[in-house]
Amino acid sequence: MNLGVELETIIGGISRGAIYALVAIGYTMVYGILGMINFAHGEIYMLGMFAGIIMLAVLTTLGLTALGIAVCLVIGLLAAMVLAAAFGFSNERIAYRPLRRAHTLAPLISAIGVSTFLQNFVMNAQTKDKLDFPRAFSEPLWNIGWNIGSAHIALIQVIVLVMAVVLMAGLHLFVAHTKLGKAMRACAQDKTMAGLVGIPVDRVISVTFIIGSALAAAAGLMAAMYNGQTRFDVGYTAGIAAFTAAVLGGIGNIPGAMLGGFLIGLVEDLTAYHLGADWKQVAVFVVLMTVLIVRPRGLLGERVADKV
Amino acid sequence: MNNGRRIVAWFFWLALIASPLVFVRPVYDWANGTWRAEFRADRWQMLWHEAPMWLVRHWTDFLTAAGLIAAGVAISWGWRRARPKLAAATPWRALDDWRTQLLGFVGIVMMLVLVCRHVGDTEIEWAVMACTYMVLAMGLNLTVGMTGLLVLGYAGFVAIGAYTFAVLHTQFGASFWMALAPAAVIGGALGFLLGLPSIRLRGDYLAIVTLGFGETVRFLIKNVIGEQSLVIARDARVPSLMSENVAWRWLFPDGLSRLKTELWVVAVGVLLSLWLVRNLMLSRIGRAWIAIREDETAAAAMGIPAVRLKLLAFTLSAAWAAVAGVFYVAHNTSANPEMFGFSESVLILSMVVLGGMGSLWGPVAGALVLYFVPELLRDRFPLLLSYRPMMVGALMVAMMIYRPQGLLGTLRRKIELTADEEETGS
Repeated sequence: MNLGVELETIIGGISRGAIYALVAIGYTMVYGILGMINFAHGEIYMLGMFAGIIMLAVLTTLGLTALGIAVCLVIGLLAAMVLAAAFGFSNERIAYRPLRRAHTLAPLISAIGVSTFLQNFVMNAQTKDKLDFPRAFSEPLWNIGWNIGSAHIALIQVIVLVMAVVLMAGLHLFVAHTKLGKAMRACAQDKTMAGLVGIPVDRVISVTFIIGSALAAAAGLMAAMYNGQTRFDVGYTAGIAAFTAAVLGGIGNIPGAMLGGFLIGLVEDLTAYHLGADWKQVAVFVVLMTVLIVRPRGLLGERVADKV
Repeated sequence: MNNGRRIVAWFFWLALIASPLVFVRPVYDWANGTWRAEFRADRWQMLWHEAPMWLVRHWTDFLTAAGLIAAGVAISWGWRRARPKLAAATPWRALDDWRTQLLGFVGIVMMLVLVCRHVGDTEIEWAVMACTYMVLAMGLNLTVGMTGLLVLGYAGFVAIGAYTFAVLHTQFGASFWMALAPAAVIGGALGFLLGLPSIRLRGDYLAIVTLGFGETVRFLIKNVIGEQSLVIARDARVPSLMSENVAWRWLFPDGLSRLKTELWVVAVGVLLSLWLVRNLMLSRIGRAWIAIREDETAAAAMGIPAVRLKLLAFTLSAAWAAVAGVFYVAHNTSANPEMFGFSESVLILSMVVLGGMGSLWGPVAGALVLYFVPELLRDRFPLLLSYRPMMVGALMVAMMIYRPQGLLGTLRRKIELTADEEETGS
């Protein structure tokens, strides 16, 4: 066993985990308030990737790279977040809101429909093949790096991690200290009661979708930068991994989603290193099934999963 | 029923009854556009001479089509006269009558004979696949529709059956018929083993567990057996039936090719599935499933062993998929892990959702609309096939919002699916 490579794997796993944590937050927030699995969330993440890459391509075409990599990346990030937020908002409006009072399975089936639709929409409208992240923006970030012992950390990994932590801290502050955050927590506890005391439940739910989608898009752009490429179907696998993270940490629980994200990232990269990349997906699915069957409330969840 | 709806209903009824006419050669040619090429204006003279010969040459077809139409008319009128009120309210209930069933069975056999005589291989290929999907959708309907357990990894069970056959074939030289029973047993056993710990989970968690199971099966096959296709040799597939027997030659002048035999096999499969599902629905087990679907707590309080029955539905539906998987591989001539992805599960699920969860004919209609119709229109609208997944997605959303009980669903299911769940908390 090579300690340096091991350490590098762990660092890689943590930065990948940060991305999953951001996506998992979206799953967990929606589940906390609506009690539904937003199956289309992975597709929002994928849309964020595409939007960001297209924005960067537009900037390159316009010759605005002179602004500097950092500014361009921030513009790309903003574009991705805005577009994804718009998609998330309209998803909820079109596909979930009419089903708010329906049977539990109805919104899930509807969400699967949205997911299939968006995935194939991007495939038909953009491309069937892999879409490369513009090298000019990611190469410099890979080239700068530090050596810790025999392990190597690239700047990009630090950036991903720092960005994720900043966004998560921002979300935490938002939920804990603003009026809207308080309304969100109230809705998660009891929607009917929250409505009775004058909280605009529908608006709070829309805001939840917008925030979750924007975070997913940020994660998407970072993942595209980190992996160097994307495709229309990456949202499905990443979505499942992030959902696993949310369940692992305890669904409905924001700190749990962050913890779960890091754990899943580590599990993926360690499996990929020790057993081969082919087993990465299997590991995620096995973790998912095991957690759901053995401990459905996850590591940090307090709520016991109800039976009906 | 207002007048507009009545006219539409009559139109569909007439179209349904007249549909066997398509198999009469001239009509078929005309529909395909070959008729016009064959008989241009300068050949009207010849047509005049050939017309009687046509009738002579294709008299069996005319007779069969006429028989089918007569049977359809007889069913509809007989039913209407016997039970006028019921017939007006629920025309499809005619299918519960044994005379209708007998006539329908004869009609289906005649239809298959006509198809084998006249329809091209491409269309038969579509029909075989559509029938496979019908069987699969009916199997999924046992869990999703009747028991209310959402299964998202149905393709995984299909893969188990398919690979049971493929491995048994490549290792021990098993043929199609020999693989059916082991596939059912292995598929059922794995479904049972998956259900054992997970069946007590709430609906959406169970759905995700089955999704994980389906994908794990696919990845395990990919990593352990390999990504390359396992090919089924010619003699292990469904055989072609060629015979020099006079009666056989008269019925099928070209014999039955492998594809046409497959059509007969899968048609028997569909009929068998329909019969099984119908009897299950009306039996104690089926009624218990419906009770569980409607309110599990209440059903358990009434003394229904909910866990055991849910496991039974799960196991049965898994074995069902495995058997269909064996046929699928035999038809497809090779098995590949990519054939059993999540999108396949979603396609089957959407057939059930579109047709009507928990209804007998719903999955059949769903498979027809989502598989057969796009294939049929592929030449005219080449983009349709690549847009099908998008359509499927949009349809699932629209169905959930506007018609949760599906095209052919029951009112009962609609009430359940739109029920206000406020009192159970969320």
